Amino acid sequence: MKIKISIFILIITLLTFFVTGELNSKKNRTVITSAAPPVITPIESETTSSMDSPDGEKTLMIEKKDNFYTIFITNNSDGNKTQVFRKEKINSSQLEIPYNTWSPDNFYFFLKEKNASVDNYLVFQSSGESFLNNQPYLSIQEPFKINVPNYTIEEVTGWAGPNLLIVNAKQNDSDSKISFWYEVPSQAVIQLGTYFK
Amino acid sequence: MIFLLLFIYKMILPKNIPCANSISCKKLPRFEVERNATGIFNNQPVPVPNIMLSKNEDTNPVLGLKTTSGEKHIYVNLETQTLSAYEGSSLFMQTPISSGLWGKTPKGDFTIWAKFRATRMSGGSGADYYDLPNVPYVMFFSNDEVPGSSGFSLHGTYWHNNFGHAMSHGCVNMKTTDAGKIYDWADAPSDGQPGTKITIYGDLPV
Repeated sequence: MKIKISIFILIITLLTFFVTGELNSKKNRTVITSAAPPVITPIESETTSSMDSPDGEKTLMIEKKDNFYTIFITNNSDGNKTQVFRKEKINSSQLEIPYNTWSPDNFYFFLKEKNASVDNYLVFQSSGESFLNNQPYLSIQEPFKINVPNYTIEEVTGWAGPNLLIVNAKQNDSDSKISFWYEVPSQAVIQLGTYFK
Repeated sequence: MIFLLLFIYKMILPKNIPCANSISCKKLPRFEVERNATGIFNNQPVPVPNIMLSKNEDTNPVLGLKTTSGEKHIYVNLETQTLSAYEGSSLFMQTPISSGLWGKTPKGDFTIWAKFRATRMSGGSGADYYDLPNVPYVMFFSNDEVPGSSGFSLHGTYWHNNFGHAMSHGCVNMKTTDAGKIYDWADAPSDGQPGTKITIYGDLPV
């Protein structure tokens, strides 16, 4: 009888050690479940910026979505919104709407294209129509580099007239600053005597 | 009577104050609107927007919006090319402007002496000549040293869009929408009370 009791106590003790050991080992174990891995949904980075024309008649808006810039113009009298251009975002370049983007008669607008090296300025027709040779926009850097290679554009500040953009520039080998007019229809770069601070 | 007023008007114009608007140096400014006109700025033709007067708009000098929250005061900072309008300590609006490039904008404390929904402005010479009908939302200002006849004013602008940079012959140019808001808010003199105060300060960056 005593032997039976001793064997029973031994079995109970062994079982207790076994169960305790199993529980401790489970705590340290990594739980692997068969559930599907979480799906990472790409967050669409969508931003918009806008600027009213000085007379309040039109609003220019840039929408950045899915690596594309889309440019819209809204006619504020009837709320009619039209897409005038769509451009793929290239590398680190960024399109910005300057404060003075609209030409005084709302016929043109210009945008600043910020690049890692040199900023560019692009002129569009607000009708969405292309320029000559089917160009959707005019780049100011190109005629500037050709016509006045000894100057670097510092800023295009705004419009001096319905088709005259003011370009502030700096001489490459000195601190001399000078302003130019960029005449949109002819794409001419005209040196001025006045510096537009 | 008109000739007498004009004579006095011319006599009080000091010789050393340049005309920001040559028309106001010859005759009293007035409400003036033209249809389908063409203007000239920087010796270039400029299309002139027609002025569409709504039924509620008065063509004579008008009072501003009556409020009781404090004295109205407009500050023009020539260094930053910004205008800030306060009512008491509350900012009513802040916006980029264009001050004098071809003619200096006078500095000091002024008051608005007349408001016109639109008028004609002319001046400059040679390449800087300008003749602009339908200048919108004009608020002429003056003080003891700068008489009203010298033609300095705050006003809307349809011939350029280069705000934040000096671009005028001495006046303070604003976007037409901004000028409209200030025009409706600011006061012309009435009942012995002076018009809204304007303080112009700072220097254009060299």
